[in-house]
Amino acid sequence: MPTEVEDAEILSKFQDEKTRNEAFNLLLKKYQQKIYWHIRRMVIDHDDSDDLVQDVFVKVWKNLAGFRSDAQLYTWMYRIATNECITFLNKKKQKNNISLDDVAYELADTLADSTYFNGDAAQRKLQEALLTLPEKQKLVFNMKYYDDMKYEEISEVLGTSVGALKASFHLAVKKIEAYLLSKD
Amino acid sequence: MMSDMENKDGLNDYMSLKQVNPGNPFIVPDGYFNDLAARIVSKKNLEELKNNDPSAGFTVPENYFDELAASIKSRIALEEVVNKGDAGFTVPDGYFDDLEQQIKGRILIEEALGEPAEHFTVPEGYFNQLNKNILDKTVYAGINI
Repeated sequence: MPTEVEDAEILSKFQDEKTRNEAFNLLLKKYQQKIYWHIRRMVIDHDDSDDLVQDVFVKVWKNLAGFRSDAQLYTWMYRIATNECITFLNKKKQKNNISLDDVAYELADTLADSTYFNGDAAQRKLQEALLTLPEKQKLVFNMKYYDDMKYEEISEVLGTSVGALKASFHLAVKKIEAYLLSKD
Repeated sequence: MMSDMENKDGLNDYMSLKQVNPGNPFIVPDGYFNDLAARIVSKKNLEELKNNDPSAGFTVPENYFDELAASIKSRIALEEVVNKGDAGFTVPDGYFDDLEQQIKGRILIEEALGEPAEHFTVPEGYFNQLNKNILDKTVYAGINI
């Protein structure tokens, strides 16, 4: 089984102009799916996710030279991806002159109509429940539940304390449970 | 007391959520991830090209943009004059109302003055004989003039 390339190697290759493209390709191979799914869980629609994931990696390319290793590479990329998603959702709200709740309704419609969703009824209900959550709670839940990230890592992504994140996750889970129980 | 929830065991208290399949319910088009990297690299390269040379290699004549505003203003002024139709010239009141009659009258006059043979005729050789006829009736008839 081929071993995954280490982040340190990617960063080292990126610093050298001669190996920069090779480094970027290694980075893409290692992280494109992770970043894509993080985005997809936020914006639901595949085509929107496709646009955003490309934008995110172009930003990564532009800023990777200045990346300081005091944070992990992938939490740094997650942060970029998260900010792109939030900007996208806010633009959607402004463009259609609707509230964030209405954006959630739109996303729920997208989920209902999507050909790229093959979850069962319970999974669909879970996604609907997630769409009722404030963005930050949704993000915390997704990163904990689907990505199995540690609170310290989520803290690097969101810039929120571990304590606040634990509270946020706990609250999200309670709301989701209530939603799953209340609707048919 | 809030459970630590460092792992999914913390969800045991939430039976409905615990029963949901935690797998990824979203899918992507066939082969999507096979060419995603290449598309990202292409997008990155295009962005770099744009940033390195915003003009994309196209050039303009020297001083083009310095003179452009003045050229546009001249063009606008010229088109306004042309669209006005009269180019600033005027005519006396009623000029065009009488013009047709004047032209027709002028034609008649000029025809009457300058075109004697068009509508009247004389016998053949008339003018050749005219002088002799006048003399015969006057000088040669013994009448002193």
